Amino acid sequence: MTSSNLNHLQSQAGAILARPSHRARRAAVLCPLLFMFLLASAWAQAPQPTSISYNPTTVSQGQCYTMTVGNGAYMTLDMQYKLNGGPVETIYGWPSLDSNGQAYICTSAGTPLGLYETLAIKNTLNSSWVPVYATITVTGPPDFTLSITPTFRSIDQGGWTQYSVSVLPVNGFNSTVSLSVGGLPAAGESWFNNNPIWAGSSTMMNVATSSTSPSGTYILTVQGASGSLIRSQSVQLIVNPRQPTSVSFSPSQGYAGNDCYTLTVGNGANMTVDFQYQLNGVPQPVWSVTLNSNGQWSYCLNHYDTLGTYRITVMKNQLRSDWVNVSPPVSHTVLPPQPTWLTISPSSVTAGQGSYRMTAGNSAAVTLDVQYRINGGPTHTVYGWPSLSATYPGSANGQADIWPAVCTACGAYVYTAVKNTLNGAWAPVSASVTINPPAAPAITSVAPASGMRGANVAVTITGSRMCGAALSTGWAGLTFSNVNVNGSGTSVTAIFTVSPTATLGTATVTLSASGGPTTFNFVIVSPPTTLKKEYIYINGRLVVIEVP
Amino acid sequence: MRISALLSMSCLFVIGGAWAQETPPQLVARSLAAHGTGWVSGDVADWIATGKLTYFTVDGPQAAVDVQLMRKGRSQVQRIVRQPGGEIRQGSDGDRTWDSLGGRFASLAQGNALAFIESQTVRSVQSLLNYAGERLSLSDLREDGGRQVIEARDTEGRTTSYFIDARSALITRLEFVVGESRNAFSQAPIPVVESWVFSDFRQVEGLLTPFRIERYRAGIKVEEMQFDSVSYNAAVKDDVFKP
Repeated sequence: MTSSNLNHLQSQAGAILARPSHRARRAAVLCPLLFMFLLASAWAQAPQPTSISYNPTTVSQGQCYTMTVGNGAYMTLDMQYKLNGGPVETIYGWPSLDSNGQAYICTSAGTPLGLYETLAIKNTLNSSWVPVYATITVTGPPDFTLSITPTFRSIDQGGWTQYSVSVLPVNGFNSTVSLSVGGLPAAGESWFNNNPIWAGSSTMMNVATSSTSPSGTYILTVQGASGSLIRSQSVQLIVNPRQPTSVSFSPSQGYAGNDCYTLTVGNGANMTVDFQYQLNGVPQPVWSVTLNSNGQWSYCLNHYDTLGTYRITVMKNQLRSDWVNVSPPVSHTVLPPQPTWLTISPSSVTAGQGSYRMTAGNSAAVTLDVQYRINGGPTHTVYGWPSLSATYPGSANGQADIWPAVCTACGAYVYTAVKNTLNGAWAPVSASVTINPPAAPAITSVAPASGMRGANVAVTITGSRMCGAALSTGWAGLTFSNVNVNGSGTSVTAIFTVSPTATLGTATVTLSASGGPTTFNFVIVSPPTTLKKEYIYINGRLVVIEVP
Repeated sequence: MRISALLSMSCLFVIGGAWAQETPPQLVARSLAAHGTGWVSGDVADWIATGKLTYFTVDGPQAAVDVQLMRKGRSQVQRIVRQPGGEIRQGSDGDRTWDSLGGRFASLAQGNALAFIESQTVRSVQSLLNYAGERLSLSDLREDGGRQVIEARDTEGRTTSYFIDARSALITRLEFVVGESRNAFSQAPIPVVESWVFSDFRQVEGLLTPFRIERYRAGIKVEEMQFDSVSYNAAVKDDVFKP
């Protein structure tokens, strides 16, 4: 007999002996009678048990059961049994039955577990065995286990998932179990659809993560508690880095050097995002950008940024390898830089004698369109002028030095609007330059410098600063027509008309140009005397008249 | 040596009916024959072209005005754009350049104006056709969709790419770099390329002449000149080449 079995038997015996303890006290009184009875039994068969049964047939350690023996009233049994199919064991003098042939037997924590098969019993006063068969199973104490399926889940940051949690009763456990879970990612949460739940039932455990929950592998420990009985089960949760869900630009286009945009990525807080994109239809290397806590990234376009359309087609969290399609593609257009301001220095220039510098903000390497007014007159629009260069290498601002020609009309030139010739929108500005007249004209020659009465003389006046020249004189009989000045103001041609009655002599002619008047002389002469008829006299007598 | 042999063999592909193993000088010679040998024979002293110039924005055409383009010799060029608000003159007399508003306000040609002048002079089609006289060194760059791209480098280090149609041998495009921009996303440097595209070729006095010239900068169409008449040896006077 094994020690465990021995313990069981001892415990059984102990249980039996413990309950009717008054018997021990009566033993001393009854012992002589018993002795006589035993002697008598040597001659007479004592009643034998006829059957045995257990109720319940399964008990947990510490629980009690009732043994009922047919024809067993007040009988003390001997029993033969097997534990868990082992060898047949025999126990004598146990248990003693009550008037109903029953014994109420309690197991203990020390009772060996297993299947007890009762094979034969007999009245301990008899020698012959009565074959019977009854079983009782001694189990451990009531318990439960947790079963969770699946044992592994994978979600993205910010996602949620479910596990099925079942409470499996053990050894007749039939209480409710309160569930809880530990080991969640930071900023994660969980809840059960039902809690507590009864033994033998299931519920769904929900696990949600935040976009800020760190990615990684987590062991979630689900704990079930029923009184002091606590059982737990673990499952795995993998939190993958979250993926961006959307992308947008605001605004969707802007002028280089003028505007800013904000790139917003859905689910992209603090994420470094890789983008695949095309620039003007040409695929570019992957571009990565780290977003702020709002999933945004702001950028102010630089003057020298490449113009065109940047079209994002695919993106991903840099921590992941799988890409997310952007459908439809999202694009941002960088428009040509637009001038932001315009200055002119100096503010006044003498025509033909110097230059002014036109400087425009954000206009390096830009060709302007300009609108201007002269002396408050109508607005003139000029496309494609001037072209500016950077004020210094790398500068965003552009400039052009402009020389007003000597023949430039004098007055106040006010630039009222400018734009990059590649853009449609005008930028209002106010920059002015006053073109002052040049010095008075200077005449170096007049050819011819004379004319006869009655003649129309084509005269060329050579000099400088004669732009806009007009001719005048107070000399009687001299007038001017067809006055033309060449573009550089260095030559004036005119028809001088000398009337037949013009006063002979040197006329003073005034040439008035934008820079003032000057004078020159023009000589009016009488026509030379010509021989029209020749009268030949001889001795006072006309002899011949000749006409040459 | 083995690599050289392989490279030589790889050049035996036919491109548009022409043999790709043509050297750049051979290709230019074929192009000259297509355009007209008068370009290098000295038969063309000058020319005048008149037509319309259309200015473009990124949204499309914005203004179309009369234009007159005059060329003389190797370096004289004058483009007069007659706008209601003023006449734009862009040109060079060989010594100086200008970008003038009506002759009243003139600046040195820079930016777009200078690029235009160069496209008509030192980087012109005629310059390539007369590459020997211009002392240009030629190199084969690449094949580009039925066009052979060759690069010409002048003695001052300027490089210009010419796109020569492999079949017709016409020079349909020239390009050169005028600056550098930066990718607004990656900040990677990207050259700013000025492109002049020639089309609507017509025979004029034995010379195949493009009547449409489109201009692009960084891929954006800037302007288009559509000529209605082109005259060679028009006795253009030197004094027209001034601001």
